[in-house]
Amino acid sequence: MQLNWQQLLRAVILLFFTLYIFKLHFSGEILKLINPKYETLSQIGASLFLFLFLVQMQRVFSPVKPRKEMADDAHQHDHGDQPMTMKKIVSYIIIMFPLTTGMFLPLSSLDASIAKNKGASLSLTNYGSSREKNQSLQEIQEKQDISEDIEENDQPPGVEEKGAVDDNPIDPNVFRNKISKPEYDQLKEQLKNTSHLMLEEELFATIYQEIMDKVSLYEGKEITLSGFVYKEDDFSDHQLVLGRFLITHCVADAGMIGFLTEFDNADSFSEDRWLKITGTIAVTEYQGVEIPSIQVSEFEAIEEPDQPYVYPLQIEIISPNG
Amino acid sequence: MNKSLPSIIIDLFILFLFGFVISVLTFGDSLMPNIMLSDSFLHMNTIFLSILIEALPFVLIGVLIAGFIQIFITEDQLKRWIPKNKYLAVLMSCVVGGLFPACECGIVPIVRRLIAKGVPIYAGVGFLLTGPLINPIVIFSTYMAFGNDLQIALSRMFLGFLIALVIALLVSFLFRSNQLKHSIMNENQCSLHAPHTYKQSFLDKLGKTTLHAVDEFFDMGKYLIIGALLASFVQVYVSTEFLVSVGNGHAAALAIMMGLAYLLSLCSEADAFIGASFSNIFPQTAILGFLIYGPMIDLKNTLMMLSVFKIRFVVVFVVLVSVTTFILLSLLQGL
Repeated sequence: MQLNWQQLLRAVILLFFTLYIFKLHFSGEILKLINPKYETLSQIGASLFLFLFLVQMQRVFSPVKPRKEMADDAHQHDHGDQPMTMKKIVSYIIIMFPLTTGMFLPLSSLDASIAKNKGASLSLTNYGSSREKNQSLQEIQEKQDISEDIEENDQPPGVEEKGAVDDNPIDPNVFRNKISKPEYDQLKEQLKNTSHLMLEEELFATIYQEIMDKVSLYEGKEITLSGFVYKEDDFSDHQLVLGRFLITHCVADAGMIGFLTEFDNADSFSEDRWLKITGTIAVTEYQGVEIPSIQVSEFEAIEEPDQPYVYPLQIEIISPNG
Repeated sequence: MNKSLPSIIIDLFILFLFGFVISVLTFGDSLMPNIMLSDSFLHMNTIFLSILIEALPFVLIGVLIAGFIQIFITEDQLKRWIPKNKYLAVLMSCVVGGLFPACECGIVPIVRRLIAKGVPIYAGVGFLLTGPLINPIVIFSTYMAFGNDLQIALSRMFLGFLIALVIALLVSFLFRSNQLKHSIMNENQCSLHAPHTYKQSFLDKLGKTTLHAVDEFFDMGKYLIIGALLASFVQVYVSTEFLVSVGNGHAAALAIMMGLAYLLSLCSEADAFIGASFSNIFPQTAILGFLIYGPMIDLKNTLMMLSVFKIRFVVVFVVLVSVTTFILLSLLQGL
């Protein structure tokens, strides 16, 4: 009976992965990495690590095979029983690398430099020439796929009728990032009849898409949104883009979505500053393409919100009641 | 193995390890060095971790399925299921891959296990190619990302299937042996896996499945980590606009979109939105190249394949997939 150090190392690594992922969930930092829709899946992953750890513990105290037997064994396949070699030390260091950087380095939020690298200007003009095309970002997921419980009901509604005409109250379920198809269609109808669009987090991507697709329907309406400042070299002094990162799975697939805004003080705000603006939707020509823009009437500088990213709305094909 | 040991010692030891790891994790925060690291490096680390955290559940499910195959399915059973005829076997593997809702991280350990169990290389490749490319979730998200346009989603599915078939057939002509690394080929003779001959209890088998999964995770994990690191480097330091500005014209556009798909290493379920954002810059075939090529092979995936196959095979395979996809899509363009 002997303590097998290498099996112990493996067990400890598995435990580190388990607890590191759980720690990300408890501290809420997981939101800097993945779409909350995948939180449950990630927790299942952490539980699997825990399970593997517990099973692995069975091997930690198993007797080391006598050396003679191993010499007879021609194969090199690794169960973690063979003695440590340089190659294996390197492997273990690689496996521990993400744990180390995860523990010692702070997680950052993506900023304008990433947007630039990911071709934000390309997406700016992307919709220009074919804006009547009925595109939409929403990722539909069949209901049985991954069941998730996102806790974001308590936020204020994303669409507000100015002057509160309340003959069309919006179902509170709309704001769970997950709505049924009829609700979604109804929501789009309501958007068209609203005179003041409020781009709250939950509906940011949806409303953005609507406006990009059918700007003629929304031209002249008022709009309020917050986001970070992004600039292109060829912008004039009164132009800036106010945008958010849209996360489908994890921040690796983030793409910036945002509006070109125009106002006199635009040059006083540098990139990555967060602003909340209100203005009127108009059409501006940029790089030879007509794109939606916002003529700003009010603006204020704000702090970066706790949750800087926005997520695609999820539409349920199958209604919750079956 | 260790029935004689009072389990209370193990339990106490587990508790001790929990305490140890939790205290390290808690202390880690306070030890966070105050060295000024550049923002771009921190971004790279964040993207790197996000790829890993997103991929790990799929990889774990993959290694557990692989462990399950190793312990519960015998070589004889597999031989009976797979058609003797080479063409039929290729066709069947592509269809099975299409029905199997895997993603590109999870499928590598499964394919590795299948091939080690005697599945011919071409059938394994067919499964590897269509698994992540064709499945309900991918097709659905493509359909939505392209504005409820069925055409792109269907083209992705059918062209992808066709291209996978061609590649699997080419592999069947080019390679006879299973192309696994030697260490994996010898696995089946080793003590932990060999004894299918005598009866084992179900629980025994389940325990071995899990231990296999652990070994598989440590074998594969390092490649996944290097792949994720490279992909995050590309995301932070290589400019998309630069890539896009490199070429005009159909062939260049297709090559660029395929290159982008390879370097970004996105999940096949998440790449549709990114692909769609290029749809006004590039012709449709280039977008299809992005959508079809990415799930079949990318940077992260190549690294993971290196953990399974001989280097020479991986190189030939990557070239084969690239050239075949490129030629077939270019031909389509010409029509």
